[in-house]
Amino acid sequence: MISDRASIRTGLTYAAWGYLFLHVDINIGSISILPAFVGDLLLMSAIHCLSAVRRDLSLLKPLLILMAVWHGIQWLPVVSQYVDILFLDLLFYAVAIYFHFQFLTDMAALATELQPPEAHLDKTLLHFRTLYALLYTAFHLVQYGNTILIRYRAITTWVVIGGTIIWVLAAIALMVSLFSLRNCVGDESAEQTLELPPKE
Amino acid sequence: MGDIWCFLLQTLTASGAAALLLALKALLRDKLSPRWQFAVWGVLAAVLLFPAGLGGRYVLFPWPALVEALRSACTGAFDTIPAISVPVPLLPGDLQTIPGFLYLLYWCVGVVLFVQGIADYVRLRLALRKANPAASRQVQAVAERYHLKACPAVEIPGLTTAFVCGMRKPVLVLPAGRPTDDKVILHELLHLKYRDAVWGILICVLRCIHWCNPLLWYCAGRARNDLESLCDQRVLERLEGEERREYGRILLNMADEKYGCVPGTSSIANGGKNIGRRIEAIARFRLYPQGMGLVSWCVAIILLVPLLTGMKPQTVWETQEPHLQLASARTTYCSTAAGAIDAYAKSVLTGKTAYRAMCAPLSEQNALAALEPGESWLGEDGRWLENVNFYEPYQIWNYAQSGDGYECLVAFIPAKPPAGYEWDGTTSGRWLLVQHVRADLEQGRWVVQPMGSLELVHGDQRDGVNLGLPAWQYTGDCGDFRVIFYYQNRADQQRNGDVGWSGLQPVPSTVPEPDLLYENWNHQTVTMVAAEYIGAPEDQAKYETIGIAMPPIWDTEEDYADLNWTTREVYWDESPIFLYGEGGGMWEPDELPDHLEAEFCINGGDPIPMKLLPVKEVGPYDF
Repeated sequence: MISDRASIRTGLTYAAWGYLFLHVDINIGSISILPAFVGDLLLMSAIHCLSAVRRDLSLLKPLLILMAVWHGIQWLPVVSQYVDILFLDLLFYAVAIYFHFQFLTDMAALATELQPPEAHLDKTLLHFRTLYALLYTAFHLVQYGNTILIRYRAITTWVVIGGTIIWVLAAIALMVSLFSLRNCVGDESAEQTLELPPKE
Repeated sequence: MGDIWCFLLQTLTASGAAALLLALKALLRDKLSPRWQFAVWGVLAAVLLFPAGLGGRYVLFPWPALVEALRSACTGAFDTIPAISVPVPLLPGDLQTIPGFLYLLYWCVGVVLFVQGIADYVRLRLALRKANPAASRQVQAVAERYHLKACPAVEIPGLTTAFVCGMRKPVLVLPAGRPTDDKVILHELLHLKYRDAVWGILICVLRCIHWCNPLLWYCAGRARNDLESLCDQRVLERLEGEERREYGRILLNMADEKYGCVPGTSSIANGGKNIGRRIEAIARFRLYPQGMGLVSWCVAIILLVPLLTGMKPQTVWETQEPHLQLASARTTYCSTAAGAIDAYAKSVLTGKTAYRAMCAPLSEQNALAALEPGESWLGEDGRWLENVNFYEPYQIWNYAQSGDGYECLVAFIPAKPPAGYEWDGTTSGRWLLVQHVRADLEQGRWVVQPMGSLELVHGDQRDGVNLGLPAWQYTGDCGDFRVIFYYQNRADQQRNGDVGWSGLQPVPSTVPEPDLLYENWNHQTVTMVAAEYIGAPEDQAKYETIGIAMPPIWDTEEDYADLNWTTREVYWDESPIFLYGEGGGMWEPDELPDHLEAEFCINGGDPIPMKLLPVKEVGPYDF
């Protein structure tokens, strides 16, 4: 399969920055200057760029659109106070776990095709995929527990803080892996097209 | 579930969970495997089998408050809260009211459906006993080829499709006079291997319990269909190539056939529409990638935990509809004694009946509901609160465990002294409105009962201890002096900047916090030692100074050598003679010591050991 090198690089760049926006929050007052819905839009752009080499990625678009809408609503403080509904939160947590798992699986498959023979980026991305699913589940369960285990809030608050730190570090490490994968593609001065091994 | 209200609560709780699962399954229909699609129904089963509304909790939507509002509107009774002990319908008790009759009707139909299911199964087994044995070689061959366990087979004329009946002694039933494809037998043997009849029975039982809930009825049908799709998945995993397409064609041919649903059976044919969905699933068949099982588990867990544990309401609904507001208040449980006292204090400050309902015993709820809208529940005591200072936090004095509950004094600060009374403008001389209250646990919720009316008290605060308020006291005599030891504990409501600011101080909130912990109050232990002269007046001139050394009550073992002596000149116009006051941080004793020891000295003489004993006549709540 022949594919545009620049498009793949751009897609991987969008994916890496998308994960930063999704997992790092910097607020000024009640407004986040790294809103999560921007991360979703970056991932959407990544899918657009990479779906030529990984067709399955386009199947994730409907889920990502829903997530972007949900994150966008939550970003607006005027609206978010009225949509703090556990029903919708649980729905989107479940969708997000599946989305990120499948997305990172596809990134790992892409790494298998693009990485140099001695590299193990595919395995690294698969490990991150698993870690991400586990951390996502654990983090949201602990956050939920923090709201209901009032007597133990002194403990659960520290667990949430610790989990947040691990979460952010994992997101940064994931970003680094995606940038490394991008670097495997080479820079724009090399051949524009990239020949990938045919799919089985 | 002993009445219609408990049933409503249970079925509505399950409906919310069912709606969530249906929405999620629609989003992930073609993304997660048939195994997940069926297994996730286990979340709904867990919700159905777990009593709803435990501890005032709700799942996804505030059903307890809504059902309670409906119940109180229909019955006019506010002094009970439905509590589900087991999520199955118990024998009807009350047959004399309309809700009681409705529950009886529901119960009877559920029992009829349940008995009918058993009767259908028994009739089927009896009919199968008379059926002709089918050629078992084909069944045996399929079982051997796919390493499954075979079972006896019979054939019945007129039957259009095969099915398996029973679990302990299963029988494969085949249509007589028609050849049965090996893949159909494989499908049924896989049902047998994975004991799918158990799930079928569970679905039937839950459908009988919630027979009048159309959403759960629909979910039962979807669950059965997902079970068949799961079996299709298992079949396809064992077939290869063209055999998979043939399997799809077999299902297509069954689309027009009727099917029965008898508990304890599982059949490959389950109706035209359902078969259409299964064929779509077959078209999507693939061996799902490794690791998808992890996602499935993560999604199931992230749903299961909140759906089982639920959420606890934190605030009362601000609504003009009195039934709704009081129902919301009754079902917003105060989960701690401190939370109940906080709700009580704020109900006094605001006069809001709903806040009082949060922490009132059930026996008082009818009286609260009878109040007119806008009428304060305080009655005559309300006259004291006309000039309460909302910018000052309320105070809790002498909070202590008493039997299974807790007692304390709740104190409010008036903005100015009442008419006819003086105030010197100092904090120590402040007037206080004080009430003795007690908190107890009643059916899982903490409730507060006043032990007296609001009392206007002139404070006399000295180094922490407020002599205008009751205290635990110890006394002991030494010569012509009686030493009095005062112990109080004091907690102030926390100020919260979220409400607003008054100058440099945040304004305390007047919204109850039903889960408040005692540790969240700013509390401290305060003690004071004083002396009273009990000798003859003519002997007063002998005494110039008195002194005392005494370990603090929170460390009675402290060595006297480490103690500081406090020595005072005696001023006879001062009564009692203040010696010293001390704050001990947050000392929380399980019980107070049965005596205190001290050393007393007079006119700088040798220390005289003495013992102080508790004063039983005056308690920490006696004015």
